[in-house]
Amino acid sequence: MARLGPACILFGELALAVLLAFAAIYGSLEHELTALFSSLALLAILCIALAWKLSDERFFKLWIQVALIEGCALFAFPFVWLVSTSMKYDEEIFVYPPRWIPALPTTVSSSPYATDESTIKAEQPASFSLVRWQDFVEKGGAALWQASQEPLAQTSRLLAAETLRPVLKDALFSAAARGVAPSIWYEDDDAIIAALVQRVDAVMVKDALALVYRGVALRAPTIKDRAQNIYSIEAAEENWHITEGRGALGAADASGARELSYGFADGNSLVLMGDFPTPIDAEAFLGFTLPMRQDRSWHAWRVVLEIAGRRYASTDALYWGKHRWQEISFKLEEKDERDERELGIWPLDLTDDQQGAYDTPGHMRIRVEIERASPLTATWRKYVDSYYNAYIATEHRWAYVFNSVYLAVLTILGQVLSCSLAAYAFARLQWPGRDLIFGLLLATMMLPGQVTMIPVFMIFRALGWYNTLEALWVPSFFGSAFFIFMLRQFMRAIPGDLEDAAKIDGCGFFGIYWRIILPLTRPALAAVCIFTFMNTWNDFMGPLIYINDQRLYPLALGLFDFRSEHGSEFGMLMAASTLMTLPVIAIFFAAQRYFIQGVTLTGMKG
Amino acid sequence: MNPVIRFLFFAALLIASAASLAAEELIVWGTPNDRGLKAALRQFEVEHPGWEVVTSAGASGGMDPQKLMCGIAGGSPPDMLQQDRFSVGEWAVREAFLPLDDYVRSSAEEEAWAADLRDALQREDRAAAGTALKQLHQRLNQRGPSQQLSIAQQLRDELANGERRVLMAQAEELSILVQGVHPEKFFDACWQEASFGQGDERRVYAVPNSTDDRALYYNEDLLERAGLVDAQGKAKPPQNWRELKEYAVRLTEFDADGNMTRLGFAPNYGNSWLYIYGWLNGGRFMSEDGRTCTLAEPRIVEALAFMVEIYDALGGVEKVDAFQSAFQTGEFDPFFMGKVAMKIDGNWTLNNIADYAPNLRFGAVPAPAPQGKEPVTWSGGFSWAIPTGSRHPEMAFELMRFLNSDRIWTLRHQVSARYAASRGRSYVPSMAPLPHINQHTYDALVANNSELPTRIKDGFLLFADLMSSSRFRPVTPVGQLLWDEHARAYEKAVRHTYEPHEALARGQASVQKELDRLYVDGTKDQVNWNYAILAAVALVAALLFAAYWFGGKKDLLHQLRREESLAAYLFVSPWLIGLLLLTAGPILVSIVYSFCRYDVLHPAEFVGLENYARLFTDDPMFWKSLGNTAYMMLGVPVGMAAGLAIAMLLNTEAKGMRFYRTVFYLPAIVPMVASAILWIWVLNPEVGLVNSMLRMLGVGDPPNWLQSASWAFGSKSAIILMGLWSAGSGMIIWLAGLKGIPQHLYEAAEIDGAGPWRRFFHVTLPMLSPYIFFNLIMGIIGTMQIFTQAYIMTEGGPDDSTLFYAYYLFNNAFRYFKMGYASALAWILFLIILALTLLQLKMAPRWVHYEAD
Repeated sequence: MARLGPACILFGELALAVLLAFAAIYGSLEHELTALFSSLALLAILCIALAWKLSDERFFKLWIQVALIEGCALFAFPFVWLVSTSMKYDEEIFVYPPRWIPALPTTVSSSPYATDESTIKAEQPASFSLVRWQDFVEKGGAALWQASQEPLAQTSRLLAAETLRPVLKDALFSAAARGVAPSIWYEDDDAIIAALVQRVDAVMVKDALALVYRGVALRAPTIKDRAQNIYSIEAAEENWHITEGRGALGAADASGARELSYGFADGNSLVLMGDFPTPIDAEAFLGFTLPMRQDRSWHAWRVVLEIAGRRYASTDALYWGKHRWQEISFKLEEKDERDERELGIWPLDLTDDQQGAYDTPGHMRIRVEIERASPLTATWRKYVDSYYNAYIATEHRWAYVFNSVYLAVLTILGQVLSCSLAAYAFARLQWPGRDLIFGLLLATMMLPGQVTMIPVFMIFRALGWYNTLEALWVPSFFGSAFFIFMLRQFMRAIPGDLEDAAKIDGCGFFGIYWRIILPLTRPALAAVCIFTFMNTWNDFMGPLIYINDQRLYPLALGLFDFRSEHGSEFGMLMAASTLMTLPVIAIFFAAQRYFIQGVTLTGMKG
Repeated sequence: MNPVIRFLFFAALLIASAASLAAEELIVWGTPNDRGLKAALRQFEVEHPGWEVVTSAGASGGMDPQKLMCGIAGGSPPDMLQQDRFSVGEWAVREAFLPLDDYVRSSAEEEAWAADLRDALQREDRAAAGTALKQLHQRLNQRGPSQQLSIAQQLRDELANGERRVLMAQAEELSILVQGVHPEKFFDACWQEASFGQGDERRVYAVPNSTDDRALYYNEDLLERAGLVDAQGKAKPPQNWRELKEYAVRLTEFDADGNMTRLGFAPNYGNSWLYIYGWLNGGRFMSEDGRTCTLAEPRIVEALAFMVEIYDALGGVEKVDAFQSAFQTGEFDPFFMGKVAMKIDGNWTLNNIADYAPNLRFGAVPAPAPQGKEPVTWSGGFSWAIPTGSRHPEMAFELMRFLNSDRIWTLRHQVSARYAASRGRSYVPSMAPLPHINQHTYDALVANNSELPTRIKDGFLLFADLMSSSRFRPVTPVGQLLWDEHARAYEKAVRHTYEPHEALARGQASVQKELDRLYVDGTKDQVNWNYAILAAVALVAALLFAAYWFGGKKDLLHQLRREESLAAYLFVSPWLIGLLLLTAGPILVSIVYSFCRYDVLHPAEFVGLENYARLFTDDPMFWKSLGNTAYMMLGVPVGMAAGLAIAMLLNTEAKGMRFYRTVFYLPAIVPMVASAILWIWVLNPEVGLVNSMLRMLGVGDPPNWLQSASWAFGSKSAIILMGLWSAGSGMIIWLAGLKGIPQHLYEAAEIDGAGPWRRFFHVTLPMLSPYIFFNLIMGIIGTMQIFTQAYIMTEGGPDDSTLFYAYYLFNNAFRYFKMGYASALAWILFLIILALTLLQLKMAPRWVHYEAD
């Protein structure tokens, strides 16, 4: 019976983990009761078995290990959320239950296709059991699919009914279920289905279709001249055609859009080509804009432009990562070197191969070369998309990094030097006024920063430090009360024997500090370094007030600026935050060695 | 310093300074994510060679007023900035912004000269043309090189014998380039909101850059389903307040368990506040002369009572808030999803509809007024202003003029539209403060845009039309306070803490007191800093003398000369110098301020003990914030225990310990901006993790956490809970302490037969006592200064339940311009912390064990 206690403890620990896991995965615990209780029962049996089987010591070790893993899950979860959000599509971010693993992109070998990745599942009403609900969704979906055949026939998308049906019926069901009165869910199935079917109309079907349909479509490009004027081209029907790979282009609709269907059955590439008239001469030509709807297949694509006997190609990696109409612009880099990728304007560079470039006066030729993405590359491209966008959207990225590192190094140096010296004086030396001044030191920690902010600002400005990094690192060489206090506490706990021995050997005070106290204080100094690093790295109020010039921004202020510019683009914001957080994690991970060296203290006994 | 780093740094500096030598900089703050604006600024640089516009996205005086305040007070403000228009008045009356009337006039003058020039050329009257051109050229020349100037120069050179047709074309171009700022062309509300003063004293302090207004959106499907239709069976929006309330109730739905499943209409969901209801009921928030606050006038009381009525009819504000807390944004916006049937919101909602729910069957109508009253709207927006001390006010105004010219508005909208298209988004133009620009934008970018649904086009026109009947928040030195008090009165009334009239009367009294202080009390003497310095010196001298006297005269001198003392002073000197330079000075200054009325932008005025007296006798918020902060002390021991537990777990021998330590530390590293979003979800009353666990464990009615003002399980306990989670940050110190405990002590204890508990209580705890002491003091100091959570997550709410002391102090200093009062608050805080620390120091010897002593 003595074993029951430990078994209970282990069970409690594991049960908590299971509860958390269920809550994190399903977002609530109410719907999965059977699974939950059966896994808890299994755990209980396991715990009892383990308690009787294992020795005390090994049981304790197991207990610790489980506690560590569980704590890990609990404490890692903001960071996991941060990183996973940075890899999500917009529609994945604010969903309940939250999605911990960002969705994998659909593997597309032929397009157009239908997907349920954007469909929001209808909520299970309280009056339904899970099983009945699953059946009902199936039944209701089938009825709605029937009801929407007529409106569906009027749409002109190139997708077979059998491909469309499985995903469209769910989308229809969700859309219809959202619109009915809540009281309807308490009636019988037929009445509910009747109510759902009544919601079907052309608009609803069109919306649901737009949600599940993915396909590429193109319109004729527009041309831009060096004075930024835009010219549209009257495109003849036959302009775009496929020169390589398997595919077909549909006829132009009212807006001039042509749907593209393609398949990668044999071969991994597809090339579209079009010759277009240019209303301006080649000298004035700056670039063109391609209106395109992508299919979110993450296939890579590249643009080759041939004009006036010269061949240009896009240098950046471009992917089919969106699924709405977009206007994607290209410009000749030799004519305008500004980096405008953030504005969706990609540079075109002269290629090495100029052989046989198209040269018809008043015309240009555009080739769109598509290369198939394997599931793995598609996933990679989707996951790093936000990072790439955040990267190109930050103009002075490398200056930010440089400033942050520069500040971190100097402030750490300053804090460690002056704080340890002062702490040594407070902890180990006798001098008149020590306690009074120490009281003063404690007192300075108590005044909120907001009130001294303005006078300090005026002093720094008078010193000529406004808009310089000096304002941010010089103060660290004056030490900080918090660290002095912390180090003093640490130093006071060091036994005095070593010091006395050194004194007898004729060591001076600085010698004692340098040879004895500093090495023994290493774990605390490591803590000072980490705290200082984090404070400097994350401080944005200081730079906000003192720095005016973007080139002198540290990362934290850069991120703050980024947030005011891209606050609504969550993926990018989280990607930028992740990038900013990673160095801190790396440093913390590496610096732990020094904590472990705290064992030097216990080395005394031997 | 590493020579490589040094070299790199100086190289960077060199490049930076070289760049600044090349062009004069025009520093502009508060330029948000607006591609059109950025393109316009680039165009400005092209047309004004020698100028570089240096922008900074955040940091106008809105959310982070510290930067602007420091900048103006310290004499290095930007040359120009964009500011939420409603706060322009507050800065302007404190003389922080320049009046722009002269600039406005002279810009109109320039345009008139250009027109004269053109007309004279038309008449072939070259003499008159010459006169006009001379004046214009002179003016343009003063501002330095620009495209206008070079055209004017060319004209001047060729005027005598140039060909008329060429000259005419040039004059035409010139008149387009120098288009002036004309107050009458702006929406009146926009211009008036940027002006301040009575009669002849009235000046304009900002040039509007954008505007917005509000109306009632409704979901046609839901109205039709509920039978709220006209004769044709089409959805019929509510016409007056009575109908609005009726609709709110009829459209709100509950499931069989009584949980809300659809919200018909909530008075304060969207963007409405008490302001719009007050105006709809014909109320005014301030008297005509701006000296009296009329927040509690009967029509506003009626308006608030109306809001309360609706909330009560829906089952109470907490119920509605809890339902709202599960709301999401973007594609899952509850209005798009049909979870909310009607809301009063701004014109920007159109953009979201176009992006996320283009086929939504919605309608927009003016927000209904009480029967027989005119519907009005509420407009706000942003404006450009020039702070006092701007180094290039002329050029800053030139930029404002440029940005508001017709051709640049066209450019801005075109670029924005193209940018939206490049990202695959729809573009519904934001509203310009100029009606003719909106008409033009509608014709060019809205009317013929086949991507935009008709309903959105109609909506655009509705909001543009509504601008003519718009109200705006009073322009007053106490605008921010009035806003905060009006929001507070709303909170108190809907939560039934007070009746509407009492809640408003309290708010009115608080605002009126501040007004009286500004207008009735008149000015006091300015502080004579010589006396202050003299007093400080005398104080220090007295302290030193006292130390000498009580420290035992000769003995002290003798001790001072000892080698140990000298070494100690040397070691402490860096910190001491810093203390004198960067802490003592500012602290003394803040003491002086605490006896002053000081708004940062004007010299301080001495008021004696007034601030302190007011604090104790006349400021309920002071006590409230103190109480809130005291409550947070509960978190200190809990957090310490958690931190120690984690540290002990991490101090064991297990594989992968480095990894575990790092992970446990993660919550302290992740930026608050990111983790705040996560926490709001975890603590969500409806769908959050915490509550779903509680429900599982049988708690039928779990707390509303951040939405609740309750003391037991409300916003404060939620913040303590969050604090526990970052207990890992304290772990470092604990770990350092644990590592320092000699192993032989444990071995000895074990030999003596002590079990794990006894070892913990008799070895670990005593050996850790210096660290416990340290963490306790730091914990208490940190708690007294708790700020960030309130600032980022709750803004002090709900119902002031997270109005912490430091946050209240911050509000006084930087939102209400009461630096003197804030300094007094800081000193009280200082004294409280000092007392607590002294108490602990006194107690410490009884339980803190230092091995060295």
